[in-house]
Amino acid sequence: MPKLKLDRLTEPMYYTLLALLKPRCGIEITEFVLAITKNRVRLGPGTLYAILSKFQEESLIDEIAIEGRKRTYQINKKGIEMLKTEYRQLQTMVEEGKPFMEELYEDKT
Amino acid sequence: MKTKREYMNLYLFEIKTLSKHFEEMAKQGWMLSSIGMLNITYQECEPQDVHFFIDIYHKGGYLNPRIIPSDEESYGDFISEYGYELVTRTANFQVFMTHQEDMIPIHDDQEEMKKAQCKTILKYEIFNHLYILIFIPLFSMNFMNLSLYTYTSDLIILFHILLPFALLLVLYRVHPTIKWLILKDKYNISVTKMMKRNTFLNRLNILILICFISSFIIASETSMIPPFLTLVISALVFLLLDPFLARFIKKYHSVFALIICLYVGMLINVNFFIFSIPMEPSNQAEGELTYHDLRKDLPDVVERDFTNKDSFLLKQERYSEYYQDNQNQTRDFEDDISFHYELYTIKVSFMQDYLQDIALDDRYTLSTTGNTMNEKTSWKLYNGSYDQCLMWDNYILYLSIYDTGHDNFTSVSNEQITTIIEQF
Repeated sequence: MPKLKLDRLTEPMYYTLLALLKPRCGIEITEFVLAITKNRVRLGPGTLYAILSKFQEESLIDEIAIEGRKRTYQINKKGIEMLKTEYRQLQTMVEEGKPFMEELYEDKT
Repeated sequence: MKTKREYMNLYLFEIKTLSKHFEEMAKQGWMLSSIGMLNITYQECEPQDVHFFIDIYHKGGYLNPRIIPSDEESYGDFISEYGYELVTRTANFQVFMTHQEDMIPIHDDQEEMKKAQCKTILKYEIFNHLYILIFIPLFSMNFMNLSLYTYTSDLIILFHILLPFALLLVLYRVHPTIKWLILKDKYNISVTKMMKRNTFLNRLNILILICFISSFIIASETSMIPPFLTLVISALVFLLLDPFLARFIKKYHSVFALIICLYVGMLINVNFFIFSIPMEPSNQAEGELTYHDLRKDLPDVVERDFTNKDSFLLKQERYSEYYQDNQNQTRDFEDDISFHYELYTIKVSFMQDYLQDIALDDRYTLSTTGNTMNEKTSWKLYNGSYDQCLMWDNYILYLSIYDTGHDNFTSVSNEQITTIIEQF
């Protein structure tokens, strides 16, 4: 059975790609995600490993250095395009929902 | 350094219970060293507080089953980077430990983790019971073919007695997993229970395996030993060899069982299953004579006093010569015939009478090969055709119709026989 192509990013995937705008290794990615989400998203190594493998398979990231056990990854052009698309989609979703959601918040207040 | 072993049936759904058990053992001064199929090994250490995490290694991790990590080693290394230490790994899971508190869990998506756990457990159980899953359909097919007219050897009967036990054993082994797959977290099994189950299952596993093996050896073609005695001998062998085999089978349980069962299954099915192709109704074309048509007069025939010994011997001789000339094989027909003459003749006489009845005897004759060992012989037609019949016993007796009018004394083809018979 052919593997399905990755067309949308999950939350952990989105933050991982965001972290890889700069070269980072596994633990650095987790720490970056913890920092920007204020400890909300705790990317475990098992989960992250699967995400990175998937990204490599889809050629969204490159392994740029291996030092002993430590492997460093960085996003590539294709990955940036994917991230941009996801970002635009998230933005569109928020903007399209904004009038309705604001109403909800106004009702509550 | 002292080592300690625990024998238990590992149920992979109980990863939390197992982790806690390893932590308890570390507190008591026993550090987890390795995990086998049915045993866990610990090494003596200073009593310490350690946290264990069992990571069921599903291909591609828990987030997405489609993701395939390229290298298991690199996966272990990756986890180690976070402060986890790889303790041991099996094909299905890896055990990590850490002395630190408040670690980021290896897998943060619990739902995906459960899904992956289910998949891994299913794969694990299917692999572990592959041999029995192969066995059951093969035996069932044999079983379905058994009828009043099919010869059933002691060996086949014995295997059919053993099969339900093997099946019950598998059910006993897998039923907690099935319960867990249905009830999920509502169902738990303690470590003590896993150990108790293991002792019981292991003993049964060994017993059944030994029965399978020894029955095959003892109840072989040339044996006159009845099934009950085979079972008794098997049980004695089991008791005698248990301490050694228990250790051996615990170590190589699955591979051992798989090889033995496939081997036995193969032998049985080569010898019995292939020749037990069902006669009716699938192989019988409409209007053709059926097996029952051939069989119906047999009770009268077998009572008849058979007198044409010379004719029978002559035919055997002719066939023997032909066989030796053409197949370059020597068979001790004379011994067989003098030894088992009476037994043959009863069966052969029926066939000859039948051939005479349908006026085939002028030109076509009957030949036999092989021998028989006891009086349980019965026969069936081979592969739905009339040119070759098999007499079943501990040894196979072939009955063939040969065209004696032909220069080369050739076997008559299925089509020819069908055509000839249809004429009558």
